[in-house]
Amino acid sequence: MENLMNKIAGDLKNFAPEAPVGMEERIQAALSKKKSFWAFSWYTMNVYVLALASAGVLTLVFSNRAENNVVAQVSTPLATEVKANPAAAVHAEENSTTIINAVSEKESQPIKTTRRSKIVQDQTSVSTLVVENCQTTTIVEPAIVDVAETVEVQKMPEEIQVPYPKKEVVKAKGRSLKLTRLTGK
Amino acid sequence: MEEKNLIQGCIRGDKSSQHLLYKKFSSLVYGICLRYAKNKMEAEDSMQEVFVKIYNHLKDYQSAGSFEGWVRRIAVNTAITSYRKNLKGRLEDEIDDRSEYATSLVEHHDVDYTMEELMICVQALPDGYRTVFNLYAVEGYKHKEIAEMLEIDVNTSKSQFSRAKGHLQKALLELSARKIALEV
Repeated sequence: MENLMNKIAGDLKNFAPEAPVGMEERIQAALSKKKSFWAFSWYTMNVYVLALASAGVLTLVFSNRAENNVVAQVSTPLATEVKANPAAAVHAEENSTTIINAVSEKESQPIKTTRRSKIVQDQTSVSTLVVENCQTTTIVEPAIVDVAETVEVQKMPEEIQVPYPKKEVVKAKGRSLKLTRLTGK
Repeated sequence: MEEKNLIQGCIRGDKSSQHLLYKKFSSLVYGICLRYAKNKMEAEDSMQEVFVKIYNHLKDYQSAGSFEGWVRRIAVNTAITSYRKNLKGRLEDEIDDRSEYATSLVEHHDVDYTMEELMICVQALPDGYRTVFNLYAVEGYKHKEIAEMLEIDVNTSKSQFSRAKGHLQKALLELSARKIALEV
């Protein structure tokens, strides 16, 4: 058995049949196919250039999109401010009735002058003044009442000293009365 | 052309050097591939892979050992890699016919065969048996080395070799018997 195995092993080791026809071409084709990926050629170069260009374009597009997002985020509060304007207008509309300058009216009463200032909606000037009986009297400029924005509050001292009333015990002069019950005890 | 010049020419990509190298080693490589493969087609595929590897890795060859040995090792390693790739399917095949071969080992001194017939018998072996048989009996590796190479147990390698011998013996006996019958 061992002899047979040794014989078989020896025969197999030295077995070198002729390679099939066309094998060399096949190997060369496989070799050139494998090489072509890394080897320089204008075709592969073009592919690389195209890939790089497209990658660059994509990067630009995405970076622009990111910037737009940032601008939009920044501009959001501004949009809110713009929206706030109509609200103020509505508020002005509510107070759009003729405002009588009470202070100036009071001042002009002694000389029978009535002065009315009217602030129309969206108009800050006081051009539309209705002046009555202004021929005989001097025009009194509308008094501008300054409203202090800050109100100073003076702090009062926390402790208030109140004079404590002295206890005076007044003793009754004369005989002391002793209250007894009516029972006579 | 000297072997060194031949190798240098192949590294440079010289076609004539590559042709000479192929002519010199094609038979050896094809023989090895046939031993490890299931059929001629598989052997041709394997041979192509081996030569591509040889041409691509020639610069890694250090002239310490023989060049023929280096080429042989590449061919064997390629066969082992191929075996590992298809290990799953092969194991199933081998499990199926384990019980079939409990062949009695008889002394056969006068078994007559041609190389083509022997190759057919070797290729008919289950893949695992064939690989272990080639590595142990032909290449001269030890069972421990084979076990490491094929990622199998040492005992598996031993049993596969034993079964491979049984298969081969039986196949060759049948072949001889047929031949004798034809002569008579």
